Amino acid sequence: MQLEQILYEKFSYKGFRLGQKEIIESVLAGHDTLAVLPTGSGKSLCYQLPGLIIEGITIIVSPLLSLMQDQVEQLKAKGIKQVVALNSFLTLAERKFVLKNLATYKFIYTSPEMLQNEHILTALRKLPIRLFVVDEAHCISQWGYDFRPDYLELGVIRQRLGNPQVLALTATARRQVREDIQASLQMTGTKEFLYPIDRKNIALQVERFDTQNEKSERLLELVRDLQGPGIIYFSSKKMADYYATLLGQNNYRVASYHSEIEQEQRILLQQQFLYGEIDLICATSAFGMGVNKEDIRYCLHYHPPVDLESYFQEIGRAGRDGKNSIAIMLYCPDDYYLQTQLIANELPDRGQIHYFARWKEEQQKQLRGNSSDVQMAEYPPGFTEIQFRLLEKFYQRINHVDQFISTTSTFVEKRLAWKQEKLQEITEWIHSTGCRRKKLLEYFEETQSEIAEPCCDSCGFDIRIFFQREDRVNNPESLNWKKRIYELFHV
Amino acid sequence: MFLKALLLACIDRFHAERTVQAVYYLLTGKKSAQTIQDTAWYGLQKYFNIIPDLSKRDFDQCLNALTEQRLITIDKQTAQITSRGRQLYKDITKQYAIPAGFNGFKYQQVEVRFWQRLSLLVQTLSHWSYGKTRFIPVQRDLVVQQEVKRWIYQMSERYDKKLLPERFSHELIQLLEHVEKAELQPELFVYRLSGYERSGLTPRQIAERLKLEEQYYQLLFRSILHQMIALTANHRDDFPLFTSLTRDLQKPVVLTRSSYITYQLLQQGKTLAEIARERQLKKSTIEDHIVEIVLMNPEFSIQPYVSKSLQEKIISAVNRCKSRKLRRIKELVPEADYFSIRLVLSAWPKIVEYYR
Ligand SMILES: [Zn+2]
Repeated sequence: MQLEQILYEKFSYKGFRLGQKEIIESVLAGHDTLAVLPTGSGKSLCYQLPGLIIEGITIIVSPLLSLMQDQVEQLKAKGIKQVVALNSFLTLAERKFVLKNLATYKFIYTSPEMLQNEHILTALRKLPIRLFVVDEAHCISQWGYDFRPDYLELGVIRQRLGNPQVLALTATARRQVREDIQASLQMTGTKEFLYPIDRKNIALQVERFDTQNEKSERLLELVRDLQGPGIIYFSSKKMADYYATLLGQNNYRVASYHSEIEQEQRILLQQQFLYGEIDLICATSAFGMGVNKEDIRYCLHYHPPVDLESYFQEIGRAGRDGKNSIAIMLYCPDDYYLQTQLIANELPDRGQIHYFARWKEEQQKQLRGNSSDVQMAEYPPGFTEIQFRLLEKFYQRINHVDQFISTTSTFVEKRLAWKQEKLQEITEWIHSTGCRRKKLLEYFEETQSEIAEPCCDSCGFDIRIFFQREDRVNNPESLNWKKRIYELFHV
Repeated sequence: MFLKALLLACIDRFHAERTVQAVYYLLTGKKSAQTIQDTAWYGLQKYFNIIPDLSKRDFDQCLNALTEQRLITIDKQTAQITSRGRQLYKDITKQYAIPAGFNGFKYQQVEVRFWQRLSLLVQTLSHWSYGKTRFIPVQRDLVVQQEVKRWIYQMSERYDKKLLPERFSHELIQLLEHVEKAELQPELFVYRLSGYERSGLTPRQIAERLKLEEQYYQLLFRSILHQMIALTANHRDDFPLFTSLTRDLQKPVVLTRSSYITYQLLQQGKTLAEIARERQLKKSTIEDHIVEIVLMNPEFSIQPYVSKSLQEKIISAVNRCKSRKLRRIKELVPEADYFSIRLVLSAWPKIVEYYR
C-alpha cells in the first residue's frame, strides 16, 4: 500500500508535511534514524505511521508525562486503539491491567524512569519490540538545554530490549547534541535528517520596559488588541493564576493552565481551548499542553525563558496552520534575576545534595531491616521531581557517599555555569539590534533560507496586522440545566 | 470564608477536648478509628470528609488567620473558640448551609468513581446521539474506561442501542428533578458534563459564574452526587440504568480486618470473652473492635453490653457535663465502666433519637 494512502486512511491527512515522508521511509528501510524537526511539524507521525506497518511493537520514550497521556488519547480518538501510556500516573489497578494486556498493544508510550524498573523491563523483554523511539532526544545530552540523567540509561535499555531499531527525534539540536544522542543510544549507520527550524510565519517582537508595572499595562493592552486565540507564558504558577483571574474579571474568556491544575480539569481546559470556548491560556513555561491547536495567533512571554531553545519551543505553539502569527516578549531588567533564580531552582543546591545523601543512608538502613519487596519510596520534601531524579541517578551510579557528594556538586557547578552561558545568549538576543530571526538561527547553526515577511521588530513591521478584526463579545448565555441536557443528548 | 466557618464550627463542638489535628482529620475524612470515633462522639457527622483535598498548608494558614483575628485561641495544639468567633460563626453560617443530602462518610469510597463513570458515560452517549464515536475522553483512568465500555455493551444488549442515550437522559432528568426539589440547583452539576462539541466547565469556572466560593461549590456539587446515589438506591425500579451503573459501588460497611473477624464471630453468637479466648487477644482489644463496629454500623445494638437504665444514666451525665471526656463522665456515673461509656457515646445519635 502507498504511504499516502495509509496516511489518509489512518490519520485522515491529505499529504505529508516537510520531512515526514523521508523520515518514515528511512525508518521503514530499517535504518537507525535521527531527525531534527521544528515543533509543531508533526513529529509524532514519523513513528506512528511506520509503527502501524512494522510487525511488532513500537516503544516511545518521552520525558513529558502529561503530554504522553494526551497523545495516547488522541491516537485512540483516531481509531488506533492498541496504544497505552505506561507511566507513574497509573493507579495500581491500571498498572495491573496494562501489564496483563501488554502484548496486545502496538504502541507503548513510557518514560525513562519506568524502563529502569526491573519488573516492567522484564515484562517488555518478552515482547517483540521492533522500533525504539526516543522523543525529545536532546534530553540525553549534557549539552542539551533540558538534560535528564535518566535518559543516559536508554542505550543500555535498548540493548536489553534486543537492540531494536532507533528513531531519535528532537526539535533543537546543535551538532554536539546530535553526536551525543547517537553515541549514547549506540546508533549505527545512522541516517540524519535536518530540517530548517525557522518558523517563517511567526513574527518576532521584543519590547523592553523599565518596570514590571509598565510591562503589566502593556500586557493588558496587547490582550485587548491582538487577535486570538493566544497563549501567555509566565515564569510561575502564581503569576499565571493571577493574570488569568485579572483578565477573567475584565471579561476575557481565559484560564490558567499548569501542573497544579488537576488532570481532569486540564482535559476540560484543553477541549475548551480547542473548541474556541476560551480564547486565552495563561501558562507556565515548564508545562506543555498536549492539545494540537493549529490556529493560535499569538504567544506572549510575560517572563522570558532561560534559554533560546525553550523560547523557540514555546513560540512554536503559534501558527501551526501556517497563517501569520506573532510572538512577543515583554522584558524588563528585573527579569534577569528571575531567570537566574529559575536556573538555580532547577538543580539541587549544596544543602540539598548533603541532605539527600543522609536521607538515602537512612533509607537503606531501614531497607536492610525489611527484606520484602519495598515500593519506591516517596521522595523527601523540598525537592522538585527533576532535582530528585538527578540525585537519584548519581546516587545509583556512585555508591560511596563522599564521592557522590563531590561528583554531584561538580556536575551541578558545571551545569550551572553552562546554563548561565545560555542565559547570556538569550539576554544578548533580547538586547540585540540586528534582525532577530537571523540572530536566532545563527544560534541554532542554521542559515536563513527564505525571507520572512513580516520578520521582526528590527526589520520592522506594522503590528496592527495582528490586531483583531471583529469586536470581542462575551455574553455567556444564562444557565439552564434542562436545556443543556437536551443539547448534550441531541433531544 | 467557608473554610473559616467549618473550622469555627468544629472547634466550637470539640470544646477544647481535641487537638487541631483532629479537626484536620475530620474535615479531610481520615479513615481511622480515632477520627471516626471523634466524629460520632461530638455529633460532627456532617463535617466528616467535607473538604477531602484540603492541604495541611491551607488548613494551617486558616488557623493562623483565625488566631490573628482573635476568633480562636490555641493552646498546646488545642483550639478554643472566642466569643468573637462564636458571633462571626453565627453571622456567616447561614451562607454555608450544608445540604441535607451530603454524607461524606457513607459516600467517601464511591463518589469519585461514580462521577468518573457518569461523566465519561454522558460524554459517550452525547457523541452517540450526534452519530459520533470518536472523541477525547474526559476520564483517563483505564479501569474506568473499561467499566464504562462494558456497561454500555451490556445495556446495548438489554435495550435498543439507538434508544440508549434517550433512555439515559430521561433517567438523568428525573433524578435531577428530585435533586431540584431538595433545593440543590442541578446547574451546579449539569454544566460540569462534557459532550459533543460542548466542554464541561471546571469547578473554578462554574463557581465564578455563580459567584460561589470554589470550596463551597465543591461541597454543593458533591451533595448532588450523593443525592443521586441515594435516590438511585431508594428507587431502583425508577432508575434501572443508574441502578446498574452504581450497583457495585454500594458497598457494605468497611472495618479493619481484625474488627471484621470479631464482627463475624459476634454474628455467630459468641460472647466477648469467648472471642478474646479464641483469638488469643486481650479483652480490651475486642472491646475496641466492638466500639468500631458500633461506629461503623448504625444497625448494631449495644443493648447486650450496656443495660437500658445505664444508657440513660450515661446520657443524662453527658448532657449535664457537656463533655466527651471519659473520666469526667465516669465521675458522674461511677457504676459505669469505660467500655460502657464509649459504647454509649459511639451509638449516640441513634440513642438520642430513641429517647427523644
Ligand atoms: Zn528580521
